[in-house]
Amino acid sequence: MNNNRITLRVWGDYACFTRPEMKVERVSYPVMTPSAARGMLEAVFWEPQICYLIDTIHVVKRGRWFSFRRNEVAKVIQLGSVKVWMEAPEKFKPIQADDPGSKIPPKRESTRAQRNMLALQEVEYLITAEVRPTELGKQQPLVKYFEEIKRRARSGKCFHRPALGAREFAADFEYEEDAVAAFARRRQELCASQQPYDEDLGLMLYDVFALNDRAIGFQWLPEEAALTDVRPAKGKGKPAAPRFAGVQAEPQAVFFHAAVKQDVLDCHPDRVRFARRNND
Amino acid sequence: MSTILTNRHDFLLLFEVTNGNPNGDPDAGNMPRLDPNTNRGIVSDVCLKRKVRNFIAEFAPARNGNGYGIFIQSGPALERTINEAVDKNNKSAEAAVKWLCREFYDIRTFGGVLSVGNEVMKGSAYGQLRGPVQFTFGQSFHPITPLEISITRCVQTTIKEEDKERTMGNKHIVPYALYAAKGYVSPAFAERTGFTQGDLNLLFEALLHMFEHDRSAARGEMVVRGLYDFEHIGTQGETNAEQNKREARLGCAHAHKLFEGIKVGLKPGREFPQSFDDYEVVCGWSDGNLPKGVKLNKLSEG
Repeated sequence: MNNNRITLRVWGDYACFTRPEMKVERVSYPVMTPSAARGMLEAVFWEPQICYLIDTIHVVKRGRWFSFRRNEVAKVIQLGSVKVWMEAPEKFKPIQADDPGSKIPPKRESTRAQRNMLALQEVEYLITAEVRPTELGKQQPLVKYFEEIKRRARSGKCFHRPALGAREFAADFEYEEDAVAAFARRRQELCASQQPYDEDLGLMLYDVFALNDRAIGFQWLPEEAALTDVRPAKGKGKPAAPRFAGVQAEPQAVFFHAAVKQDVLDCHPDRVRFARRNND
Repeated sequence: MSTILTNRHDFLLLFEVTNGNPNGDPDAGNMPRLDPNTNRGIVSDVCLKRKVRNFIAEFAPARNGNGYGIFIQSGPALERTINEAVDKNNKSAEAAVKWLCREFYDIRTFGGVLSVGNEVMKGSAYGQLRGPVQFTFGQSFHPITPLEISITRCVQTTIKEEDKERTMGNKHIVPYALYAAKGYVSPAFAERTGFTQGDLNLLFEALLHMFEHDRSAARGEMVVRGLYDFEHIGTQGETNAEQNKREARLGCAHAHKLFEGIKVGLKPGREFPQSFDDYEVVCGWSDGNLPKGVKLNKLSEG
């Protein structure tokens, strides 16, 4: 056991932790996923020198199911089309979000699609995560990053606004010293029933990368930038080094067997059972 | 051309509807959106974004380095042509994304999803362009009672009904409701999309006036009753400008605490809100008690 753990209390009016098997009409998992929890911590603070391993998620408020249908567009921006428009602006075509059934002229080609979303309403969680140094951060004292996270979470600073699964479901957060104590306190404040929440959730998305890749350190770089150095080469005849010498990791869904026991979803990789396609 | 946005903003928008339908629910025959658990009214984030887009499309300022095109269009908005083509030699994906951000106000503000033509990276963070501005759902402060109003129409909508003199139709209204929506602006994403201070000012202008240019019989009267913008400016003195800049980017206080300072309640003796007059909106923040490093811009009140 080490003490490099931080706890963040997060809450919001709505949440949707979309199940990957049902992404046309979004359906949320009943509980926050470890990847969503990681995303929230990273919204507050993250540097390539550290990574978060989600330890446990305390379910303070489970929330209620909530269904919602909105008009969306079924099209994404095609990179190829953008390149054409850059050269010939007169060929530009916006994405039309008109009602396709509309009888009012002019008739346009519309890509509007009505999509449903089964989300959660009024949720609150306590995220406890272990802060680990990556290969890039081995030389630095971890306490430096640890203190920075604490400082930010305490004073409400964040790199960008954290969200519960989707950006329209913005979340608030607060630093908590101790997850168990905070959980007991919140339960009392909410006058919630003391009936513990137990549920076997089956397979749940753990994250979108293999854990071992993450431990190396992690940077999103466009292909060109990963291979070329933008810094001027120092000294005579010194070849420009690549900006990042690591392996290029591709997104890869990893699932685990999730079960909420006594209000707690345990998700530390040392303690959970992963489902993998090939035993690597 | 103004500078890239450097300060975090959290804003609260209060708006009301009188005898109208602010946002229909396609799941319920276009009834006003309603949270079945609490009976409070809801206005979706995309509904608000649509209104901002429509406002910008109609009142786009003159090009000043950045264009003000709208990529996701709806309704009879004027077709705007983009006049400036870029260097033909630069064909990288990064250049294309930059071009999109420069030309289109909605992409610069709300972001977008790009198809990168790679099956593996599809839908991943690689193809996502996250915009600095995010809206939450608008929620009414009190339960709403949607009414269905039957109307007679003297114009027939289908050929089958042509011989009839009048047909029946219906529409839904909310007699009165006051809604609140929260918005957040993250400067870290503003740096990526090139969202400027001028763009933010334009967004606020759009929020203040979007309902005035969106009048329709169905929507009744919609009025903005408050726009409180909390700007994070940094807690340090003027001598420590560098540190101030860093703080302003990350913010100086919890957003929920800032929003909690604006109290909206019914006046004593009123039980069922029928107009804005029944509400009491009290801004508990003054220069003296605002958290250090935060500035409140009351862009609209009452």
